[in-house]
Amino acid sequence: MEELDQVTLARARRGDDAAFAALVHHYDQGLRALAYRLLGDRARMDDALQEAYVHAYRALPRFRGDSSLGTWLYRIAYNACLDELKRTREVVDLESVRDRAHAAGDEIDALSLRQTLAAALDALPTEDRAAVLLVDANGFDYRSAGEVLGIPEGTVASRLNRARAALRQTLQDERKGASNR
Amino acid sequence: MNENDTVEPVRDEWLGELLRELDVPTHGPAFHTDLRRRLADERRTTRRRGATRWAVRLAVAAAAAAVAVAVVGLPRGGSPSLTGPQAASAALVKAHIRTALTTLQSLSGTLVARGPRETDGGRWRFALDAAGDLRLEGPKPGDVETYDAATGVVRSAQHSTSLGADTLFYAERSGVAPGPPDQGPPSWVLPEQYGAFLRAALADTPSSVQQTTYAGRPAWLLDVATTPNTIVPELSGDHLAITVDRATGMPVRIVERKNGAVLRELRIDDLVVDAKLPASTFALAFPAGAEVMHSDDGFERVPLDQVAAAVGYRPLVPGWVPEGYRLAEVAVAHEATPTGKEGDNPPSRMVVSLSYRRGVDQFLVTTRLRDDGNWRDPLASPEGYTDTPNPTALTAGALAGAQAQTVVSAHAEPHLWATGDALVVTVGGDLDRSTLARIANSLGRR
Repeated sequence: MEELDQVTLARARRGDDAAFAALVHHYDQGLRALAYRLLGDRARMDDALQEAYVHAYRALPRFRGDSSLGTWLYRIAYNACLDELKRTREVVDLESVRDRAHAAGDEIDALSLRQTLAAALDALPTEDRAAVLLVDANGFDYRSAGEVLGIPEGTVASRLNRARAALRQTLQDERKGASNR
Repeated sequence: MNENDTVEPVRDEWLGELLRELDVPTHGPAFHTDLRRRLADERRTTRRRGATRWAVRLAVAAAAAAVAVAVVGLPRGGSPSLTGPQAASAALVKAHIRTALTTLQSLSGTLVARGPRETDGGRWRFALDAAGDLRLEGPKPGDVETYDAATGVVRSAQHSTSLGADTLFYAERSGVAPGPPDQGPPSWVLPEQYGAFLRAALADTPSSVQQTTYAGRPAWLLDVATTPNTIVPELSGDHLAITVDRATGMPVRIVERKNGAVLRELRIDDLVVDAKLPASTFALAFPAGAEVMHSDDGFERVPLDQVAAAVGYRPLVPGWVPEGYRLAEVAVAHEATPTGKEGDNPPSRMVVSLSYRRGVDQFLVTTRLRDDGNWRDPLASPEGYTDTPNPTALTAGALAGAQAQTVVSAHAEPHLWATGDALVVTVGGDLDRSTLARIANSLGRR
């Protein structure tokens, strides 16, 4: 993940609107990917990221610069997503999601690899999903991912192992199914 | 760095590529309008203040460098020096630290960094002096930043890739605090590693000291075994090889290895020690008509005898400081940005910051009103690191009876902090535990 340059960061801290807009633009795509995959809905993604950006704007003067800005911002966004999940009290029905994943496997002729992966991703627990998105998709190292998720690096590793195994198994099954059809 | 010296992969690239190909929706049509409105609301209700907090002060790295100089026996002031393959004893190290720190007056050169991530690399020209002034140039041509310690003013001309790659942006930041835990002068991006490496070298006795040559000059090569960071072991080495120029005593190359493979290299080219630097070194003039962004961190330099009138309480001043240190700066602020690991401490009010200097080394004593807030370590190590504070009972001085916490870590400068009846107090600098405690026990109302 490429970091925002120090000048833009300094200007954003001092209340420069253009610089803060540049900050949002710089990180928005990655944050959208994380939020959407965690929340599964565009409206909820937007709600969470609105909260995240306002929170970041408010807290930016206190940002110490010891962790990277990206790590700091992703942590805020991740927490906003968790808050959004709590706020809407939506209970993720893992069984139904797993069914969707399995259905995806059954109907592999009609579904793309990406759809299968998306369904398998949905089937993961939120914490495991966040870990694999941060590290494998967004390029975070374990330490930074741990900072975002508020967990030790070792826990990041174990969540990653779990998530990767599940995703790879699903993709492997899909490939087998495709070759048998 | 050898191409074969790579960090062990920690990412599933194949899976990552597939994950990045997943569809992600754009924002809804009202998202940006709503965000602008909400941020405008925030602006109306939030007092905003320039608040650049830099990772680690340049002076810290420089002090650490000076310490490392001392470790290997800088041949100045009649200090003993290492003349053959031998390990430095603790007593010898301490003797050299005392000698080197009291004499180092200026440093300049070019820092070159390479590492496993793209952001780890770059080149910076630097110059600093014993007054705390500094100048940084780079990493892009034209990027300059200066700090005038006497006035507490930072001036910069820098490029911004986000705001316009070819345009220089000018800024002046005044009222800068002398240093941590408040928003101090600028530091490098990289000396954070430089200082940490050298602290690590200090914390462990070199397992070997060998004679070598570097860039054709006689040098010593120190091998130091270090404990990898438990949080990010894949990016943290288990050995440091520190090359020290014998003529100047400065560490000129630091190589961090993990399982024998090179992780990072930091080196200083064109090093000059104790050159007389013209005052213009630390000045930056803006072009006529340039748009300059101004901000004020709120710290004002005042004479010590005017502090009480400025903040409403008599300042706590050390009755004892280590040999050679002198009071170099006294600054006060009615309000400063919150301190703490994530800026999560209560607002800092009526802050007094006393900077003591010895050569390029510095330690600071700060006080701020405690109010009713729940205070955590104002000088805690950065996000992602866990400190192990040592309880330190203060038995004398204005804080007698208070329980302080002492933290000595490679990731933050060594420090002690305590809460008194009305004040939160910090003592921080490259000092050992007993010295921190002795200073704290000597604090008295002035």
